[in-house]
Amino acid sequence: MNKKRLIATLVLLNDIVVQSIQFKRYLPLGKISFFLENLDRWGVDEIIILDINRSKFNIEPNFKLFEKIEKFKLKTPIIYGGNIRNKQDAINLIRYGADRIILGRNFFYKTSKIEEITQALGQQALIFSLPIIKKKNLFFYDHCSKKLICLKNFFIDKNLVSEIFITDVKHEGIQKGFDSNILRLYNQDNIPKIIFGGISSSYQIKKLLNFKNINAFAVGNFLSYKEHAFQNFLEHLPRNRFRLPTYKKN
Amino acid sequence: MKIIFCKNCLYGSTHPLGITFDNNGICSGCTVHKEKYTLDWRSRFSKLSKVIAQYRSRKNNYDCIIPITGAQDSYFIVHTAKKLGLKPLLVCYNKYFNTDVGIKNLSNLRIKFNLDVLFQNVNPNTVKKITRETLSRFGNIYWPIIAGHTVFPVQISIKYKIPLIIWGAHQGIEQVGMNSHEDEVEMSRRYRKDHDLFGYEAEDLLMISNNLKEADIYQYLYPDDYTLKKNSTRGIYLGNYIPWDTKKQHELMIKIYNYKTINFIRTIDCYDYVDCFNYMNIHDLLKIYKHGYSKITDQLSREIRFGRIDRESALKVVKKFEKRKPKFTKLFCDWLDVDYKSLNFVTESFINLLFWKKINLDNFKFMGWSYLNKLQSKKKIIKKKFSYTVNTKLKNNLNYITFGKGFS
Amino acid sequence: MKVLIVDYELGNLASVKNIFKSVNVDVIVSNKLREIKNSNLIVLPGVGNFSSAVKNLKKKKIFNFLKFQIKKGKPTLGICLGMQLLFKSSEEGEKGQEGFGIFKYRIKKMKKFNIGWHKIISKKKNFLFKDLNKKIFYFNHSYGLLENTSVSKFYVSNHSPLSSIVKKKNIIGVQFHPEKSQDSGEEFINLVLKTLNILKNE
Repeated sequence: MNKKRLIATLVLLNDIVVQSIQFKRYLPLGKISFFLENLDRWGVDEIIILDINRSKFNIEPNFKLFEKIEKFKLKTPIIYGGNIRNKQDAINLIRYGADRIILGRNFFYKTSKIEEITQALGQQALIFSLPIIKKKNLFFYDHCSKKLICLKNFFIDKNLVSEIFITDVKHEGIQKGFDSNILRLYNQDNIPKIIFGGISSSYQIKKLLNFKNINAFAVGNFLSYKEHAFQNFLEHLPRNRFRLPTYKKN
Repeated sequence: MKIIFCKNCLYGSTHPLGITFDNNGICSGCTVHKEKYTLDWRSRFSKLSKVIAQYRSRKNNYDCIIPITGAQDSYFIVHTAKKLGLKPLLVCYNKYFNTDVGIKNLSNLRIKFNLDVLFQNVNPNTVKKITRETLSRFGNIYWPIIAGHTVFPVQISIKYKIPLIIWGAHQGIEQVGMNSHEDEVEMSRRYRKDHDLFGYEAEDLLMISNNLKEADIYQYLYPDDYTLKKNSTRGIYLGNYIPWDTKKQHELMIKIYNYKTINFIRTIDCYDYVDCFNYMNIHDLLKIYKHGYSKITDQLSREIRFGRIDRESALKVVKKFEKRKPKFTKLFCDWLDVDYKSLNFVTESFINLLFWKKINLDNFKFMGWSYLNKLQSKKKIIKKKFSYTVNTKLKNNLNYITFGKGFS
Repeated sequence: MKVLIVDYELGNLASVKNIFKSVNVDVIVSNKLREIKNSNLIVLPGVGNFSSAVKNLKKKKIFNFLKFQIKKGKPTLGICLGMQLLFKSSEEGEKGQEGFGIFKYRIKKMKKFNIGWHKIISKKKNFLFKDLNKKIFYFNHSYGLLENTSVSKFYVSNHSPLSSIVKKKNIIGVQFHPEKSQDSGEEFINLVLKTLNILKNE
């Protein structure tokens, strides 16, 4: 049976890592370099950096960030999302040190635009982001226009990206867990999912393990609360479904 | 760069811990502070009891470790631990800049609570060497003290196999609302590196310094993940379970235990940092040079949030105190074995042009937070009485009190 | 020991460079012929698409030179897409498009993506890299070597016969990303460098 991944997620706002609550409120946590260094030492499966507000103010992706973190010699896969506008942005990010990238609202309205990036970088490097708000149906949340777009007619070709990053916007930063109804209602495709938003305990993850097509669980805020927070998640998850926790020796 | 100021307290957007503002211009520190009035603190306290319960000593003489100093809410933390029925081992990192009042508070603490204290005295020549390095590179004289104070309890936790360490307030939460109290954050290596040690652990100092060797810094090394996990070492903050109010707490400690307080030249708060000759002096000067504000701004922002002083009055007080010349600088020079002129040269090299305008070779005009902060508060001026109790003063022939040397 | 990471504008060059730097080895990123010739180890990094990779190498006029150097016996480490370039061809490539052809097999499309951390299992007991047996590495690919061949040295646990390490004399190909595999990755790089020193002295 394929193992699931547990991904550490950092929300970056104006170059500081923040605790995000429903993407509305933000509390300052600290500098990203030290978070990355720490997560690298903890042996997390991957690190997702969500660089928010860059599309809102149309700022280019954070290339400077990768220059800054180069000296930390991180050995953990890094996934970056933050206003990737076109093929050149995508190529540059990989060149600078990102391993995979998350394509967001710039591609939602016309997913076929992704094709040239897939051709250049390969499907495995690309992840598509769907921040979702569930009402009676599922809606895509466009954080720039603050509009909700019904997902009923949404389509993305399965040959464009390798995974879809679904965020439960309403539960983000709240300890009540990811709303599994989102997974029940989502039937646009069978592209494997990474789910994010509200996951704060191993118990919540265990409950979601039976859903098909979930490759990974992404956890955010809760990783900054305690020493070895990541390893503590793994300690309470089935050993054959996840990697074993790492406790580095000097 | 435009600096934004909180509409409630005195904090600006350049706060070194990081700070955010909501749509009403209120900072994250003020927002989280409100939890002190809105959360169910009774249930939070019972949560604390549950956390503590698993550590109550079965075979060990001590069931927790409490890091103490001659100030900084040490009395209140120990007082609370005793109320919870714990048997703490007190640990104290010797900062060397000890005032006699601090030493008296320390010994009084030990006697009144009838507890054991372990002291760490790093070789003073080593400490001076490191201090010279961090002063010249970062404009910081407190690195060894913060590094020692935060790592010594962890090392003892491992050596003595006492997993639980009890801290008081979480500075990030108290100042900038880094987390909700309900997040129940605990001590972490990452926080220490980022916010206590401004990005430089002992290993990092070694890498960048030409003067320091492994033998100089090994006592400040944080134990590795494997060792921490094996011992289940964990540090909790009482501030997440008790609505922390340091002024009120100190006043209670004065009343019950005769905790000693003194006057300071650069602040009106007389309760904290009484144990150190330098924290509210040269260290505070370096703070305003580099960050455009000093400790009194932290203290009064806190008091504004508690509704004990209004913004306008607080700003007036800040302006009055923050420019005062620090004391005991010569004492520091003697200790560090540098001359006064060289010290000035080094400290002035850290003057941040974001907050100071260079007039000529020797003169800088202050344009820090209190200067830039032109916000008018719509709230009424509070006509309450707001004061601190001072019950002692420093001795006349002043010198750093050395442990083991006694009083002459 | 001079390590050269081939810059063909595809690939996470920074991360690969960093892992060699962290084991204190002389490393440059380049596509200049003279530097390729003078290096002790060629590293082909890889995040991308087989077809774009071949096109870029030909555009930079280094495809044939690299092929020649590698065939001559220059120690080479191919990572992920870089490993696939060492093969005869790939289903991800365009019709008729060829790789370096060091390994005479075809890279095929997998049923599913392989993203995540997997154990690698040694085919033989006393192989050169036996210390890596059952160690965990990070994979991220959808094409691979899907048949059991003489160059397949390690499999991917639970995905046999998918190869994780292929080798023929001085040419090593790994399907995983050592630069992203934390401690195992560093261990692997150290082993490769140790092995090459041994081979040099043979």
